[in-house]
Amino acid sequence: MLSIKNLQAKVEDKQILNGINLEVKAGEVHAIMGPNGSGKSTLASVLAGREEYEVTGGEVDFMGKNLLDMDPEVRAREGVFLAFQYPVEIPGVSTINFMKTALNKIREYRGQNTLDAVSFLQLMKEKIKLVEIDQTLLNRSLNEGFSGGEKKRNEIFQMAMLEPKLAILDETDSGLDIDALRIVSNGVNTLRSKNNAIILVTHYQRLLEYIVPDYVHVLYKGKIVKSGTKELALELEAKGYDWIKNELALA
Amino acid sequence: MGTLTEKRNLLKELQTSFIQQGLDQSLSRKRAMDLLIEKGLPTSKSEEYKFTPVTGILEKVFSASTIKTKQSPVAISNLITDLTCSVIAFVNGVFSREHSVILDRELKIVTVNTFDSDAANDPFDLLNQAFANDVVTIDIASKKSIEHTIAIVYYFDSSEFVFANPRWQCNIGRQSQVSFLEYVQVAGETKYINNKQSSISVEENSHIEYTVIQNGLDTDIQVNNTQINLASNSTASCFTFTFEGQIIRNNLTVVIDGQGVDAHLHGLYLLSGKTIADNHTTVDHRQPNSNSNELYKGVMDKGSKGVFNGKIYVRPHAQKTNAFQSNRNILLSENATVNTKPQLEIWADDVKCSHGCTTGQLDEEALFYLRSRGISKEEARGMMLNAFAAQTLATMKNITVRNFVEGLISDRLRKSY
Repeated sequence: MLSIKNLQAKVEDKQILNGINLEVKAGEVHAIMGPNGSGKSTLASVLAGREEYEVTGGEVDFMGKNLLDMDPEVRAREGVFLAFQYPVEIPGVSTINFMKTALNKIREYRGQNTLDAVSFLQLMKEKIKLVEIDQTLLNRSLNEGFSGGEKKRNEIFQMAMLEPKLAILDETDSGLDIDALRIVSNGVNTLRSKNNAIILVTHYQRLLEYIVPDYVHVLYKGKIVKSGTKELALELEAKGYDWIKNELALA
Repeated sequence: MGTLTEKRNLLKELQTSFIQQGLDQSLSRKRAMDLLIEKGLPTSKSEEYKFTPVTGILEKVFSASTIKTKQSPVAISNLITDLTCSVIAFVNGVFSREHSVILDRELKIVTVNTFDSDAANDPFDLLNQAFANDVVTIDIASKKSIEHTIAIVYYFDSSEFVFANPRWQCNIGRQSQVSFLEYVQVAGETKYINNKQSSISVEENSHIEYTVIQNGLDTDIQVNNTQINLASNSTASCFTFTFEGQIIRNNLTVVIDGQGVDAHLHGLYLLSGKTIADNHTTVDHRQPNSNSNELYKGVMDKGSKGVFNGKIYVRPHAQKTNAFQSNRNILLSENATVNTKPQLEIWADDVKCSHGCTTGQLDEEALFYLRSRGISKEEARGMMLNAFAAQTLATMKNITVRNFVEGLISDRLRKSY
């Protein structure tokens, strides 16, 4: 589904990604871990098409197409979804209106008929149960005045609505208490299927107890320096990131 | 750069025209002209008019024939087709009964020609007094709820430049209610300066909604002096929408002369091209226990310029005043500018007052957020600008007018930005 080869990227003259290689197949969940500043969020941003990041080398193939050539909205329509680390507040735009516009754009692109108000609301009611969001929250301006947990749940709600092929969850666990983490993880696990793939970007192993990954990669200084299965996350948790740093220093 | 010898003496020419006009030379009219000669018209160095060079343009275009006393026939159409309204019509600056339509019997329209020159606080007011044909007076008695909106319409239809000085006032008795809509309609490509002066006096417990729509041609030049006086327990909601024009200067003054008053001043300017839109507002709290709330927002594209100046006075006697002011601007181009200046003068000590102004670009992070969900860049910008603009008209009660303005806003945001 996703094939990243030797990806390099910089922001404001600062080189951050130094040759990432990653293969993600349908049905897989990959966790990307790493210390602060290792490039985790940059990778997520580059994949979603954030414009302040400049790709300086490498290739990203998504379902046979060159992802890097696409505008962010086209990536979304092709099936890429980024759950933001810091979801943006947009005053005056209600979540409902925003989601209806977004969903219908994506349906149009996929050649599906657009949803009228009634069927949209029906779908919405079904999906909000996944993340236990109160419907009145969605009538309000997008993320405005939402608590941290509500914002993250809203991200997963949007993921549920848009049914992406590839979801990239950028530190979705940060700032969540155990209850919120459980709700968000349940939502993600319900959406997990053999047809889609998920990349979890996280600093902590805690999330991986709730969403169990097939593969764990450790990102350090803009490169994947270690890959393994979920046991790698436990080892990291026990030994800390210094373990990786020291191992690399010795090599 | 023009040399001094080439420079016209505009005031002298105005004075000559004034004598030649054949208008009734009442004492108050003469007094206005004398005061104007004494005080002069604002230049680019005048603090109050430094961004809006109306005098400079008048210097270029003025001649005796630019002042019309005769009306020409015009074909009149409603700006808002589904709004049934009374119409107070000015044709090339002169009140026209023929083109006016009065739907409610409660509206009494008379014309007078006396002015209070010494009360004028703006030179363009004096200019207006000297050249206004007469003052259209709309009287609304107490306990009248006027069913139809009163549209004040300035029609321009001329092959020559028109310098217009329309003037009207409205006196509203106690416990009455009325809504106004004010706009310009231009036939063909008529060029004009509309130097309008109006005042609305609202007695106790009465309520007004006053909406101005400025959406004409990019050659429109307007100076709009509007004063609203509010007595106890009255309310006023003012909306000023500016979309098009060469120079649009709005001086809106709200005098709160009673307790329990609620005054709302809302403005939106969506500018493009080389339009200059300058909103000077004054809220004058003279009595205690009243509220004023002001929200002006602007989006500037291309080489347009927005100006906001908001004065709030809270007089020593006006304790327990709540006065809020906010001015928010978005610049879409590097050549667009905005100048914003809050001016609060507070003499009372037990008041709640606040002001804030912001100027920025469209939030890139928010734009990316919307795009990352499949919404195109253009549509995302439209959504955000629409949301930004919509707040200024959310409280408008006249649904027909509100729908119309919402349409203008989305048209504007779709086409121009």
